[in-house]
Amino acid sequence: MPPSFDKAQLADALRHHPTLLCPNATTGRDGRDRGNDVQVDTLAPDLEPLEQVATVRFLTLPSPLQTLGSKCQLTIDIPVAPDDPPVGAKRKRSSSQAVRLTIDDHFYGTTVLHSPSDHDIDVLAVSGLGSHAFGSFVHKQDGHMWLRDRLPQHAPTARVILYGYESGLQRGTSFAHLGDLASSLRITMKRLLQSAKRRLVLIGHSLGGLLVKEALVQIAESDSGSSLTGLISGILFFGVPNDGIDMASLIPMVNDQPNRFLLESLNAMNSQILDRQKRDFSTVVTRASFDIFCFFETELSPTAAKVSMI
Amino acid sequence: MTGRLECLVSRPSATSCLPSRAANHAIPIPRTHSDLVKFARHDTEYGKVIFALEKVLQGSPTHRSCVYKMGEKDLECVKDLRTTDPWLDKRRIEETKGGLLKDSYLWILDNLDFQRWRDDEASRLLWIRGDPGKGKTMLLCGIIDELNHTARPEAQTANTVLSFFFCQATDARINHATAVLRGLIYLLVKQRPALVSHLREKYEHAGKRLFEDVNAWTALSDIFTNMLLDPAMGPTYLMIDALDECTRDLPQLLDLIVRSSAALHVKWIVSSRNWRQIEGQLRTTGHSCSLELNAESVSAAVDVYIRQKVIQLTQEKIYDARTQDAIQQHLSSNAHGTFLWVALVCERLRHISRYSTLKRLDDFPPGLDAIYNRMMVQTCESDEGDLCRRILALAVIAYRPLLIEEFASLVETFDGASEDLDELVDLCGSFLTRRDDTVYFVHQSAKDFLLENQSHDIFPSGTGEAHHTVFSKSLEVLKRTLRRDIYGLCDPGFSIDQVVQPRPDELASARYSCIFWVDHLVAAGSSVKSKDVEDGSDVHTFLSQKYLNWLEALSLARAMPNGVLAVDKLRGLVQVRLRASLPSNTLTEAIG
Repeated sequence: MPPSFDKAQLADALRHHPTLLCPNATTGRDGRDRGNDVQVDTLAPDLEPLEQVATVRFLTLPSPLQTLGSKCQLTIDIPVAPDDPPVGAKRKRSSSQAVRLTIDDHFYGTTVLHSPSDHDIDVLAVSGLGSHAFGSFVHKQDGHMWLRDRLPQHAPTARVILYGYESGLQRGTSFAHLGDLASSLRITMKRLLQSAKRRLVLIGHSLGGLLVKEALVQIAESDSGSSLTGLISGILFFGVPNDGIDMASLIPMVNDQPNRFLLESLNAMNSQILDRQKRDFSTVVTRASFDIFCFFETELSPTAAKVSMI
Repeated sequence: MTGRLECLVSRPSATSCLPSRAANHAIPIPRTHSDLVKFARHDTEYGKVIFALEKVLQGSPTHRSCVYKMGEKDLECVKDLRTTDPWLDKRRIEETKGGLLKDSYLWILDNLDFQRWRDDEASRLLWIRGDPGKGKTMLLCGIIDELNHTARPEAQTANTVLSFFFCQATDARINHATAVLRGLIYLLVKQRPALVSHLREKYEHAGKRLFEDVNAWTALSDIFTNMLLDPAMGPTYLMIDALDECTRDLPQLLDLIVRSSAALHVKWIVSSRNWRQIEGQLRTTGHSCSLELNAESVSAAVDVYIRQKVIQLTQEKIYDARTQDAIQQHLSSNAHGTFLWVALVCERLRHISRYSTLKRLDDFPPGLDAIYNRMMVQTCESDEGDLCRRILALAVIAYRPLLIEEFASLVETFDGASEDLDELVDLCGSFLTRRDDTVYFVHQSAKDFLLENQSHDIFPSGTGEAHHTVFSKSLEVLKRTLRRDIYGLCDPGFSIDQVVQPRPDELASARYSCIFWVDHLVAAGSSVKSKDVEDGSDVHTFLSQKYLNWLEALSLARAMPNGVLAVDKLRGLVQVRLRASLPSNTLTEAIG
């Protein structure tokens, strides 16, 4: 698909794609085929050249997407015009004949939400433990997503990027621990920092903040680290458990599933990892000159409810 | 399944990654852990995120704004803004009160209300309230020193900004809301030169009048608000002492305090007497720290103060141990937590001979008014009682503290030299105190006492008549002193900035009269007779002979704006008094 593909074209394609067609939502009163009710919220150039990324909402989730596993993605080809898909990020690749879209709803890796042509700063938001890269920033009542809907007005020259990773508390299958999760983030961050010497603002919620810190420590330790951390403008941390959190009420939830290891390392009682990170991170902060803001909660949270909670 | 309610990530854990230089970057959001990053469309909490983000996006704004170099225009603007340097006021106040005693304010640092104000992000406004003489002003001086210590450029928290203002009702330059704002803004700009841009924007158009005309408050409060919202602004401590001495536009000032304390990084401390009006406006936003409710700490501090004062006195008067103990005992049991009472008694004791000290101790009853009463009786009983009364009367109605020389030219029926007056001021009990050549009330409560309890005594024919006297004396002085090119500058295009006050300064005794004679005439109210302003009156002769000289003197006193206002007031007065003969009246033409 050509990078010039616009929102209307994409919506149209998604609305009528046979793979995505919803059997009972397709016919209007006039008997015309109306396709899926779909809204393309954002469409922006991806980090990969010649690709774009969009976020899309379906009123009724097409069945192929309902069964989409947390790690899977659906690939569809769009020959010329009509087709349809689900809630989530889409990647469009330009191939020889047809436009190939890949659809996922897990938002792993990066998702560009907004990319002004003259952007001189990147804002990278890393979500929390067990939460969705996109969904965790969405207000439950009015569906407002500040990174998408408000931030671009306040920071008109900022490219806004989400970073997602797998850390679910439930049905966890990832063996990744803090260091590994941070390595992936580090690669993304380094890429952003090295690409055009743009400044970078980091946003970390909960565990996401620990990943940000860990990734920064890793970057600073590498050869070119000192000059790269100089490009960091600042970090906004939201409820980051720097000292660990008491996991007593969370651990029963994961039983002996693999990322219990990660939880254990966050446990205040077992916090060598965090102690080490604290020391290393403070060295990074002392050398660099970026601003840090820490937002903290003042209301109590229900624990161990079976929803994404952190 | 829903478990217990818990704070998942405590504040200490969430903020322990902050470097000490940014310890104030801990920001509460009244949400659960998960909802910390969820904001509705018109969410007010989101403002906190935007604030932080804008700061981050500006790079290191605090650093940049500190190194901003002011241009010539900037400097000129700041100079026009400055009415007083609050740091100098602070030093003067400390000195007239006999120096700041560390032990007398340290208790506040351990006070829970204060600590909450300092440490809790959500606590933005602390109101220190107490009766006269309880040491509010010195407490604020102490807090300023403590905070300034942490706000020093070389300290790690270099981005902290500190601005403050001391209101004094007896001084027209620093007793109204606009003056407070000018002072606060002045100190802000001194620390963050880049903020001058907010001033310049409006100053470009209005010039100096921006700070002085009738719209000054509106303009300055806009500027002030913009400065506080400026991303270059670090954590900011703002302090105003003696709100009760802000005699003009206090409600607006309180409103601004309340509104601006919502700005994220701004923390206010204000002090005042226990006034209902102030309580009414501050109650919903701030916490109060009542000196009466902290009587124990205040008393302990007063005791320290007493010990120090008694030691000083003992050294000076060479008391024996018995006398020293008796004084100490008397002061401790009668001070009731009032520093001022102790200071007044000690001042009186200095003038009592060592031998009669013990007998006279009972002359100092507890309570401020009781002491003032005693002082008044003694003053009136002296040989110069009448003159003292007139001196006190003049001090009460003057629009700013007067110089000794000004007293000499304005006190009714006084024809001595200013050196003689020196002595007389000392005679005025301990109501007045001198610093350099200026005479101040020892305390606002001394003036209040005179106005409330002694009016009949010091103003036998009413305050209107007293104002009228000052007005007549002023005109006399002006007529005697003013002449063309009084400083011998020769060149009419001389810049005021290059004028050096000659010594002796011929204008010295006339400066006050120059600026305030019309105010006194207006304040004289019904004591003004039409013969004062009609054709052939003193005012008329003065204006027809000395009008230009008066304007020249005003500009030498850098008080031209006062002159403009004065002419306005005069016009109003003349029109009211002489409506009938207005068309032919040369006076109205002169000032027209």
